[in-house]
Amino acid sequence: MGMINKLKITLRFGGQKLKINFKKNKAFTLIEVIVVIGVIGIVLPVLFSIIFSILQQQTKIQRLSLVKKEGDYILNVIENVVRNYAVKIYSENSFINEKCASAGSTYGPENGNTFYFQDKYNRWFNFYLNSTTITSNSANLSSSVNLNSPQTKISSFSLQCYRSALYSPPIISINFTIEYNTNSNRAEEKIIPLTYQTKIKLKSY
Amino acid sequence: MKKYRPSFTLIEVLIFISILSIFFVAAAMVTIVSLRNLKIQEHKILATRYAQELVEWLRGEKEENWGGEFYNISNPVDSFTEKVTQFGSYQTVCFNELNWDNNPSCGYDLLSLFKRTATFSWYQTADYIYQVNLSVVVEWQEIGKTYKVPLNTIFTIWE
Repeated sequence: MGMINKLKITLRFGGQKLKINFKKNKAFTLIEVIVVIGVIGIVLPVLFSIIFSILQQQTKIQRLSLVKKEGDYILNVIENVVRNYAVKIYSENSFINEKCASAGSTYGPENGNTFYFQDKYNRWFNFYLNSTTITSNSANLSSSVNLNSPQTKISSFSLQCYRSALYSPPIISINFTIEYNTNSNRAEEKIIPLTYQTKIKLKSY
Repeated sequence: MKKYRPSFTLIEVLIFISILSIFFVAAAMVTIVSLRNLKIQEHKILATRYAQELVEWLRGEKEENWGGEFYNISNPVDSFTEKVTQFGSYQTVCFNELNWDNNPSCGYDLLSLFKRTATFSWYQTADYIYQVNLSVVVEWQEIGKTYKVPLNTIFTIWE
């Protein structure tokens, strides 16, 4: 009541008037500010969580499609190369012990180690698990080739051969599991490992 | 006389808030729809893999032992064609697991989301089957809709 809400000062310069109004400084009250901050505090986390989950989902899809792409590629390469070029199977690249040569015989070393194919030009090639990658090597190559990138990880790999009869070709079964190579254990980031398995008959034996 | 300080009227505030809320609701809907599509996309990649997995496995079974004979209850079921013909032509066979034990009540058990089924049909000369047509369907349900990934292939003795 006793407060001065307005202060009017009128200055006169000759015939001209200059009015200056002083008003009481208007401001937000504490309640208003708290309400605004509260609303922002509710809306922003919701907004960010939606954006974050979209980003997370995109990362997941990108990783999953990478894993699938590389898995498809590995199976494709092994299937085609083995089917079309492999003639015999040996446990060493000097061709001493032929495997799956007799009826009813099986051979399946771990991780594809000591599993060598011989092609029709008597050169060897193989596929083996090299810590996290499936690696291929051959007598023709000066260095081995990794079939999957460091972004993916092979958790199991096995090559097995089986021959039911002498007149029938050896059957090679290929089996591997590929997953995204990450150290994170967070459930939302986990990609389900993809399993690939098939069996092929050698075309020329 | 009481003097009002300059301020927004109720109408102005209402219009502003309604425009703002329309914008927010639209933005939220767009993001939710895109999130849903991303999820469907992820499941589609997995479903495609599962369909291919079954085809690869069946191809392996076929490579191992084609056979050619029809299923006969008095003979051991050991060849691919015998295993296939134990089911009826175009009968839906459950393949949630990679084995020949057909589960009549096929549920969405694969990763508790997918259902994988296959149907076979075959061609024969006399009593010898030379071709088997395979149709794999992986389906799953998401927000009341059923999504399907079909995959067809042909197995023959000549390959």
